[in-house]
Amino acid sequence: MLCVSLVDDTISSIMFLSPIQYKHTHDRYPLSLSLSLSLSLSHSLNAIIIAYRLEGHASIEHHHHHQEQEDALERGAVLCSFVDWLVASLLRCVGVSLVSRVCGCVSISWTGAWTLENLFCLSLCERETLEIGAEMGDDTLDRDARIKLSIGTVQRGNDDGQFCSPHGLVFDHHRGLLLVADNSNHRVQVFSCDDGCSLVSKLGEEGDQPGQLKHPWGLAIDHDHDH
Amino acid sequence: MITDTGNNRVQAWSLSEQSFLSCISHRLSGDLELFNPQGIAIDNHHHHIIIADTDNHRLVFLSLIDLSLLFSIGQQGSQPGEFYCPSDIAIDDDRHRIIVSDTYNHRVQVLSSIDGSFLFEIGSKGVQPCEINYPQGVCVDNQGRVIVADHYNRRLQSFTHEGHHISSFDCGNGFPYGVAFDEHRGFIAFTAGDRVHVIGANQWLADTEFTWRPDLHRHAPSWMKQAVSTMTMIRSLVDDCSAMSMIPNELLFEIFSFL
Repeated sequence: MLCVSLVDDTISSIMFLSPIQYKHTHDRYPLSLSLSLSLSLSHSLNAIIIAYRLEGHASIEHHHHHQEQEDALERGAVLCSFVDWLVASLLRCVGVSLVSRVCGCVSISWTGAWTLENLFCLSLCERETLEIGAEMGDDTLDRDARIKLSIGTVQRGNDDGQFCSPHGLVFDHHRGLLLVADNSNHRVQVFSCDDGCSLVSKLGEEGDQPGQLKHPWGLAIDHDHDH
Repeated sequence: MITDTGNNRVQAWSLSEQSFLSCISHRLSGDLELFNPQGIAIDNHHHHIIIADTDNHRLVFLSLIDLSLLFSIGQQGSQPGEFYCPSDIAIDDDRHRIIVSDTYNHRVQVLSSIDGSFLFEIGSKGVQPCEINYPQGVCVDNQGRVIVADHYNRRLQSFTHEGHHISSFDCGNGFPYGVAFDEHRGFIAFTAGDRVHVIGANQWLADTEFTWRPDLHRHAPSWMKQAVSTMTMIRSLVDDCSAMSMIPNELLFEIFSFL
């Protein structure tokens, strides 16, 4: 399906909407994916904007077993992120060719995101902008670099998911976790990266006994020895 | 590993079992007495645990195998290889480097992870790009770029692995402390104020290569592996091709309509 729309004098957009119906042959869980792409030509900015949105839905209603449901959802998420990765790869290939054609700034904005970011922030449907073609060291990049996600509240606190002067933090690449040393709450909070940074667990409490913490600062993960 | 700064010790916890394992250097006398240890990093290549022993102005190296003390480097001062309250450490495995934020000297020192010798330093006190004001956290991305939490300037700064300034990221009102890079998802996370913020590395630093592989996920079916390898091949071909503009727009539309 092809739609062409003229928003105003400055932006004309061409939209491709093409739902992908995918039947997973290796297991029983059907999954539907829809992908929409839009190409916008902004004359005022002298730029081509490519946006795409990816939505996935795993059908799990016939499965009562909890683990099966989780597996099905995870499979759906992996598939979504795979298509996302594929589109990102294509856009990257193509985006480079557009740079030379327009001879100006090319921006790619997307409502999904690069690779797993879509999986990570599926609920955050913000438009984000990436500028490519700018020179390294070009500080105009900073203006578009925006915070994708924030954990915690503006006010400090000691509830789950709140912080009091967090200091060091580390990603656990293998398990998809983010660990944060919650300094003045004397604990380490563990978040899952894969579902919008939800709290998984907390380690430690205030004190000076073994297993208790006082103003923890730094974190490091040793995957080989599990600590 | 958690640096239990207020108790002047380091604790080991099991992440998979969420349980406490052991305390290292709990008020031991002698060489291993830590004083306000802040940053910690693990050098898997050389089997070291490196602790920024902040108020002793040194780095302490422990064995990753038996947690015994190996050696320490540095003393208080501002010369190369000397520290003034070093607060965080990052390891660049590919280049065998240790990156230390030397907070009160307003610089980042780059050391060899083989013998701890000084290689070069980045930054001096100031507010200009490339200048640093009380650096706190440091991390290294998958291309060896150094990202520094420039605490009092309320920004993150990035440098190439050769120490050249790339760009800055304004943290708003918060003073950034820690910073971490997730190579699988291309995220940079930092703590500022009482919150943790996550930014897409690619939105700040162009050309961040993600090593995240959808085909390696435990639920990835076999066809996905094939598709990824095919796409990777196409991408490498496109990247290698100097005449990238040869891809016609018609082909682009065809690819998109196929999707």
